[in-house]
Amino acid sequence: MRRRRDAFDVLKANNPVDEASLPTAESQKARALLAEITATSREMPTSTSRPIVARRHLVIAVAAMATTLIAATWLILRPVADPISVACYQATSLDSAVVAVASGGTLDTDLCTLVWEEGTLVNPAVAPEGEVPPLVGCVSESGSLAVFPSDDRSLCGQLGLAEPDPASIPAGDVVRDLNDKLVAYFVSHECVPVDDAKRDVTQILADSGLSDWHVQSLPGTPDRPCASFALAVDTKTIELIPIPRPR
Amino acid sequence: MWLRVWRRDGTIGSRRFTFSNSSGGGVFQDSGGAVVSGTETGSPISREQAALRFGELYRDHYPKVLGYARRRTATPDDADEIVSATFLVAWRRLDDYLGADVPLAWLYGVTYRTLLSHRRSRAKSVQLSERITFAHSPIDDRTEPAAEAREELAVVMAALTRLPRLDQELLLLAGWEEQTHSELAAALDIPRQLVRARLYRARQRLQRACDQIRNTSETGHG
Repeated sequence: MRRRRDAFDVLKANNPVDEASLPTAESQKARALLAEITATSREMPTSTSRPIVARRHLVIAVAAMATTLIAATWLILRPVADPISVACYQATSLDSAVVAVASGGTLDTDLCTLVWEEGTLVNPAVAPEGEVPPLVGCVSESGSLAVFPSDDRSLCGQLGLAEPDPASIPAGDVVRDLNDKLVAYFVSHECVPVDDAKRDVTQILADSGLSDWHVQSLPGTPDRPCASFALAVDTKTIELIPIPRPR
Repeated sequence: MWLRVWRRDGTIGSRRFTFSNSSGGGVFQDSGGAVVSGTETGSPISREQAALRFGELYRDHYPKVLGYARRRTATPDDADEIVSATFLVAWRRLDDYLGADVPLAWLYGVTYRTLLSHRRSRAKSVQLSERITFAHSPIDDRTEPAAEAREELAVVMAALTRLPRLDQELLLLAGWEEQTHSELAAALDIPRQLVRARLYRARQRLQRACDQIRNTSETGHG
């Protein structure tokens, strides 16, 4: 009986498409596509009539259109020195199954997102297999980040754990929420004058209870009258950067 | 200053950032000198420059993306639709495309997400258990006993459809598109330090699924 091959080797050996047999970029169809694409505006259309493009791409592309800055959608993170791993729990209980994920020096609840998505953690009570439930991070007694499938903000207290200190965790719900608010603010305006942006962003921080954050801005110029932003989580600073008016 | 950067669209990378106000404006530049975001000390990139740079990458990557799409869709028309949507996204996110550490891997990631969205929009007309369709039978009848090879491949493809979609994509990108670990990380937004372990687990799951299918088949015939 012939010894069976490793499944992955079988997969590799049976590539269904030989790229050499495919039309090249010089084919008529490919050239027509290139011409059609480069003739379109790089700005996202106002309608969402293209079902193929994922919605989050539209959101990000709208942000890019409004500000012309990819930096408006970036979080600038600095690695955290202490924690080594993130503990991803299967249920809202410290006795439930847990998967430890190496953090690489950066605390990020999204490390648990991947664990849920790949099916390593499954809990039909909170989400179908392969889907990511809402996640809440708490600080365990050892000081590492424990992530639970829940949208209950009081869960940490219920489990006798501490809530994460935004000062010690580069990326968390607080920062994510702030970024969402800022993106929504800038996206809703074609051009926000720098002075107006500084005033409004300061108010957003106050409304979010982030009194220990501050706003730093460069002055606008006639060529760069509009503001865009970048988050510096480690220094709790929102940097306003003058940019040209979008075309 | 090297910073770990997390984009809101989910991609993760490391970039060296400088913040310069010497010209009276703010500039973010990555380690390669390319401007991240389109703000420059001079004028923003012109439409003509954008088209030229996009065209260069398009010519290199079109066959790759088309091959990727053809491997994962039922018909050439479906593949063309995915390719069109992918490059449209790349055009509109040209700064990301040009600034990616591995542009092709970045593009594969866009294609993957486009394909997922396409499948979701067609979910009602496609069985949810049908995760992968293939337009071609790769068995070459001349090279080995065809029946046994077909059976072996059929088991592997059936096993693949039982895996979580990220595992599927990891295996396919590694096996068919021959992406390295770094490229897999860039394409699928997986932390680089997790790729090796994740790929290993995916291979294990694939093998276990194959064994289960064979055991079920043998029991049924037993």
